[in-house]
Amino acid sequence: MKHTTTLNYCIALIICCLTSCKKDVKATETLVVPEEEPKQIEFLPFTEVDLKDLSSFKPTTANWQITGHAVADRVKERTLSFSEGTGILVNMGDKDANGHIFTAFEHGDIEIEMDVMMPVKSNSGLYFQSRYEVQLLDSWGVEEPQYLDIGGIYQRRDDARGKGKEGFEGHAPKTNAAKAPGLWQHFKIIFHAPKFDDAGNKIKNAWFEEVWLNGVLIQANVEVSGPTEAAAFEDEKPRGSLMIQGDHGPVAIKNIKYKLYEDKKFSFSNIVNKEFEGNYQALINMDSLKMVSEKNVDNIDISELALSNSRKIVSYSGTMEVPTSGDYLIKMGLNGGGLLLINNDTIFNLNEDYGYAFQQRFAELTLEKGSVPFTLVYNKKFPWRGELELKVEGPQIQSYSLLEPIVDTRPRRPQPERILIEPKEDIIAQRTFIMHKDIKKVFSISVGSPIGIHYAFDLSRGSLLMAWDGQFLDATPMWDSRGESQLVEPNEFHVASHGGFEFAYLESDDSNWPNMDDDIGFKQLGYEFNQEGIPMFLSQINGTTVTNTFKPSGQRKIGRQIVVNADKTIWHKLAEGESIEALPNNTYIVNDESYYVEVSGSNKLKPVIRNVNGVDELVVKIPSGKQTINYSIIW
Amino acid sequence: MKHINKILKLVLVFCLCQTSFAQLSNDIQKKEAEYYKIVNVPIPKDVILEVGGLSLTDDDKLGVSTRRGDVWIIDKPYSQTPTYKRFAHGLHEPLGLAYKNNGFYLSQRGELTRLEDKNNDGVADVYKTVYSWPLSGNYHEYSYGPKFTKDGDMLVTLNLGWMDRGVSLVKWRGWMLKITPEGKMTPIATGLRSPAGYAINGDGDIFYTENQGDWVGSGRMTHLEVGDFAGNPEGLRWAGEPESPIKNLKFEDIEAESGLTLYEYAKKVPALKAPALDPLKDRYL
Repeated sequence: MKHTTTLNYCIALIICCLTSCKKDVKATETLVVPEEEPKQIEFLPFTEVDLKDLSSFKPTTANWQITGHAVADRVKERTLSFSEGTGILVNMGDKDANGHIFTAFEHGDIEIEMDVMMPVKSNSGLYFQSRYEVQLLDSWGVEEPQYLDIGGIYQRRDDARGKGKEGFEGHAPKTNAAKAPGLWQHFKIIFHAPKFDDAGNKIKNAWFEEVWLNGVLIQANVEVSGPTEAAAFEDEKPRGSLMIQGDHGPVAIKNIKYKLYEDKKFSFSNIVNKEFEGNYQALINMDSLKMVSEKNVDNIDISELALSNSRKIVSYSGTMEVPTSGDYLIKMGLNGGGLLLINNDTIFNLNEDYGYAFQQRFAELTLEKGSVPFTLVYNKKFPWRGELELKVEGPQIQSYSLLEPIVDTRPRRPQPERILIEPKEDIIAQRTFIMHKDIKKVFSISVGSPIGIHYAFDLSRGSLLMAWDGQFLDATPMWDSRGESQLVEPNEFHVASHGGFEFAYLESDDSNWPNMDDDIGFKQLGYEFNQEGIPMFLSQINGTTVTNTFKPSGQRKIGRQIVVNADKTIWHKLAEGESIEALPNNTYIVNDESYYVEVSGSNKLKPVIRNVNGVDELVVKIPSGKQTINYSIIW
Repeated sequence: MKHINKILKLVLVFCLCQTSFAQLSNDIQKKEAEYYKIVNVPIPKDVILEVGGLSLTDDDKLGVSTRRGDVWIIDKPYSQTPTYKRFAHGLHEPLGLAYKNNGFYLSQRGELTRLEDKNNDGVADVYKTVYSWPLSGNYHEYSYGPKFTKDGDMLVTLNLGWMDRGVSLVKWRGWMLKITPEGKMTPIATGLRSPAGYAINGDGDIFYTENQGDWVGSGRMTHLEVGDFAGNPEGLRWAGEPESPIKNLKFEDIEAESGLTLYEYAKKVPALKAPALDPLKDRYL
């Protein structure tokens, strides 16, 4: 039988590949450096919108231009300046010419990303299919965002509903994730067009599956029953251009990239499901396993096994129908062990002796349209834990699960009541572990203030990690039960600094900055609360002492005062980013984290931007003796 | 020896508590009262203690460190109307507390800290890092102590991490360390797994107990001296470090499964320190 041959083949492969499977080491700040694995792609590439000229768009009015640089005035409303060049689409906000712009491409279901810059109080919008609007607005500082704030799904309008009731169906973003005007803001949106039957009748409304702004999911599964207010068309269609609004003020947009999706899926046939007695070990020889059942099934559904307290090995073999020829990306995630073969090629071989931790892998492969044999093996080693994910993304195919969803209706431990830390009257300085750019920072202290602006500081490097507003800390993962992660969750919307050392002795102006794990003679000395109840962090680098004080002020702004007593010339790194841009008035923009550094005019020492190893650094050279540095970060 | 008797009494009370608490709680309370006076300290409703360490101050107030990172000072702890004042907050899971030179000392997950009230308002304003040790980020890396030695130094013990078994992912997990108030650290002994209980007797001898687990089971007490290895090999990963007092034993030297009892194995590997009490012969070794 065909699948028997396949299995024997796979056993040989398992034996060959046993050594190639490495344990998935979770990134923590350890002295044990995990072996680097080759970077796997986790999604298929996007189509980029070429912004060297306006040929990616339909002809429009002269307010739309391609420029090389855009700067929003930080005070004057709706004021954007720009310079010649390419890569940025700008609406100049001209009073005479104020048309909208439409992409040359048309879309139905689409996943799109872009960066947007809003000048002070400016307004624009992204109209999917020229009809369904995600609002663009300078909403910085808005406490309770509405549908008309950035990231809102704009309301629909029908005058027939009566005075005062014309607007309906607007959807506010869940969080105000707006950055300060003039900063680049990142959008990721997954939109689904309305669906029609063969006679052209609408059978399903358009919906926004996800809207992400600056890394925060602000809309999920929002249905729109028809075009929103000020849409270019009243009717609804399977396809349309993306429209950007041009009559409400200037806006700059760059890095537009997208993927178009069609409703295509794999189908399975002749699926044979076998179950074998399981054990803790890696899968070595399936012939030695004791089969307990064999049956034909209609789909791949591991629900029963996943939810039962049993240890088993299961296999599914059969034929899968590839919907279209092209490049595919498959993701397998599991705990225990597992294997996937397509067309007799081993796509995944996650097979090790223990395998308790959940791990996932991605594989790229090219498939031809038509039938191919497949075998999926899952080794559920732990009676109380069975997780298996298998997802596919392909040409015009949005990533989806090949497995039937597991619906767990068993009674379970109730969700713990959230344990929130809230600064009400005094400043709270709480030591915890915290995630910073995928690294678990284990010597972190989070400082929350009653005015609602908070930050985290790494005591072991003497460096600011991140800043945020709103909810201070959710300490449930640290204090509920055993607190196995020992992590706290700051408000999701935050701005992160580089997180490495902030002071270093450099041999010359272009010497490399030391790495986070270098021994630079750094010593943490602890902290003291001053008379105002504000913590001052003390550290020492050889003969230099450094005192760090932070002053949260106003909306999304933190002031820093650093007092240095240096034994010899030392450098301070204010910021690091893929690009740092100097603006007038001692202000800098740090990208792509996207925040301002505003250096106090009273500072004697002037920072400089230097580029070392492809990274921009904003640094200041500090002579020996006692010096004070003042600056703010604004996001 | 006097201290042996003390230990035996302690163990006796501990064992009786364990076996017969449910049925004989009244008898036990009577029996316990012969050895200890037990006072219940009322706790205000809005105070979450989850106690990690206790220490009396010089003026007989009770300092309490909590899992959620507070240090409370309880005035008149023996009365039924004690007063609570929060002395410090925001510490990382302090499991231990000691009072010396007008300040508290405690182990947080990643460091030994001194807390001081410089402006005398009853609240700590100085959180001084005395000594910081590495952490991997594993939740199981609990840190205990300190206990003061006669000469004013401090002992701390560092729990192993947990990845399906006890593991020493970073220096000095699985060790007892000695730290001076100025922050000079000397590793003392290893082979520890979950060394939650340890004490120094009047003669300056150090004894430690385990709460459970692999290699080093619960219910045993080990006398620790500089350079000792108490049984769990994980800490030996750092025996080759320059500061280590253990020179002739490596992690690889300990067989995963020798089939021998610890006593037999200690004859084979003399560096292995057997428990202080021989449960079969009831005597101090």
